[in-house]
Amino acid sequence: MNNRWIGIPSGLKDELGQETARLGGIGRRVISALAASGFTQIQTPVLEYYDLFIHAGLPLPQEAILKTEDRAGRMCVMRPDSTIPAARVAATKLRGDERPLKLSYEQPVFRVQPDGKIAKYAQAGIEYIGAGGSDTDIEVLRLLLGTLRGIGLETLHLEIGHAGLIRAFLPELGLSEDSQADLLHAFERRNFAVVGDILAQCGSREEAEGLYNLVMLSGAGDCGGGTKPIQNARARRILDELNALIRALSGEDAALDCAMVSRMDYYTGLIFRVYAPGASREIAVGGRYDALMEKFGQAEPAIGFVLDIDALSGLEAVCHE
Amino acid sequence: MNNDALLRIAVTKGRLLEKSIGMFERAGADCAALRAPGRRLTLPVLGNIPFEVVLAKAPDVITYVEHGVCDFGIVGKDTILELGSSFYEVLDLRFGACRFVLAVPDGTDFFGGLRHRTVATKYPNVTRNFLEKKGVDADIVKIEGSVELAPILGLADGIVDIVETGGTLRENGLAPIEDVAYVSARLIANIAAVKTKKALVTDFINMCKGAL
Repeated sequence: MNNRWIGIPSGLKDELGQETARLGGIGRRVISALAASGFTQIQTPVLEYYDLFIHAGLPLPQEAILKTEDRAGRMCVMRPDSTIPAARVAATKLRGDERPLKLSYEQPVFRVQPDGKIAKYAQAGIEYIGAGGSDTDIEVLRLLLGTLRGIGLETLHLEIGHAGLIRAFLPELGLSEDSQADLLHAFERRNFAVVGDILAQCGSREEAEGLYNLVMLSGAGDCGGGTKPIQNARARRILDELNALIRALSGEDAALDCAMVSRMDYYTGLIFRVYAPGASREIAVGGRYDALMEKFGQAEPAIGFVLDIDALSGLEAVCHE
Repeated sequence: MNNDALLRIAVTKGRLLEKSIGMFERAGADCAALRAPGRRLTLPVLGNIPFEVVLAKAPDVITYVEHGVCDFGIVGKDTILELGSSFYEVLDLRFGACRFVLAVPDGTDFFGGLRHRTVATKYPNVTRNFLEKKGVDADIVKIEGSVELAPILGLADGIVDIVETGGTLRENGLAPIEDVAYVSARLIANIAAVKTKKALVTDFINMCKGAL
């Protein structure tokens, strides 16, 4: 007998019994906590035009995006990201709404893994549009940590970085585009042997040393005290901002990570990740994307974060009622 | 993820295990259990920083570290290039060094001519990336055992493989014509472990660094 109709695509799963309640429960509680802080829930289509994500500069390779066509033959994708659709909505249908615009969402994203499996990630998050500045950054970080505490997580470790920090050094380094990409990748992977190799072949020794000092002399990738003064003016300004942010978050376990490289090209400023004991990956990520809205004809600053519901549902500390 | 107070390290069985034990012993650790594992699957290593070792095949080392069931892994750069995605590569341990090369039957012109080429390898992803960079279209055939056999049998125009001395290549009439990458053992770390067990993780990295 042919049983091919009975399976489901590799990588996807049926959510049954307790699991349905767990995943749904976390999302619902997050959304209602965010509603109490003034965030309105939106839902965007699971299929969107491929062109939208290309226009917005989503950096995923095309093989990582699950594609199909609509009946007219236009290429569509299974939503690979929720920030870009939220920005689209904010710049079009909600263009006339009062700013800052506070949107929340609870919806999955889909990706294709390198091995060809389809991956569905359950996510909930916010987009806070039309408000810039460090006060908003602090408000959003506090909201993020508060939301995680609200679902039972007491011990949280926040790391902050800046999408422009390492990039501030790139123009002076005289590296080819390939080497720049390799350098950023090596930072992301904490592959300091490769970082050293690439910086050794740089035209500008002084800038290369500045970058090396910034990240290396301070241990495994973070930059506390003890480093030599940074000459690069833009990097120095960014570091001052980040240090001020850490001070403003007193009472929280927050640290600077100078080697943090943004995975999404739309991030322009602050980027952050949250870790919790027992979770084998970040439970929340986010950042500021002040140039994305402009691509939809509505230049305004914005910041957002997203919680990884799958990672949260595996934690004992998360209460599931 | 595993116990917060104890580090667990996945070590690649075989050649790299012997060298890893040497490194741990130079750091003053007692590796008696590791030297005589018997049927035990998790092996305690005693010393200033006590930790637990699991022995695994190279691809499994990466899987364990990515999933966070092991904090660290010791694995060859060849396997990292082929399979790796999300972990920190914190140290080049410098042992297990070898070359990753494209080798062809001695005297043949691999890059010349217009014919479609076939390359045999245990590392299809590495080979695909390398050939893409070189602008060469080729069929890649995955071979599990002795890759050197493929050109002899007429299955492939060349092979991509790791080479220690080059002796096996020469004996089979093959000559390396391009270096694909430099390979050595690496210490890799689970990202969340680095963030949430910072002191312990830093001590372990420094211990390995000091014993290189």
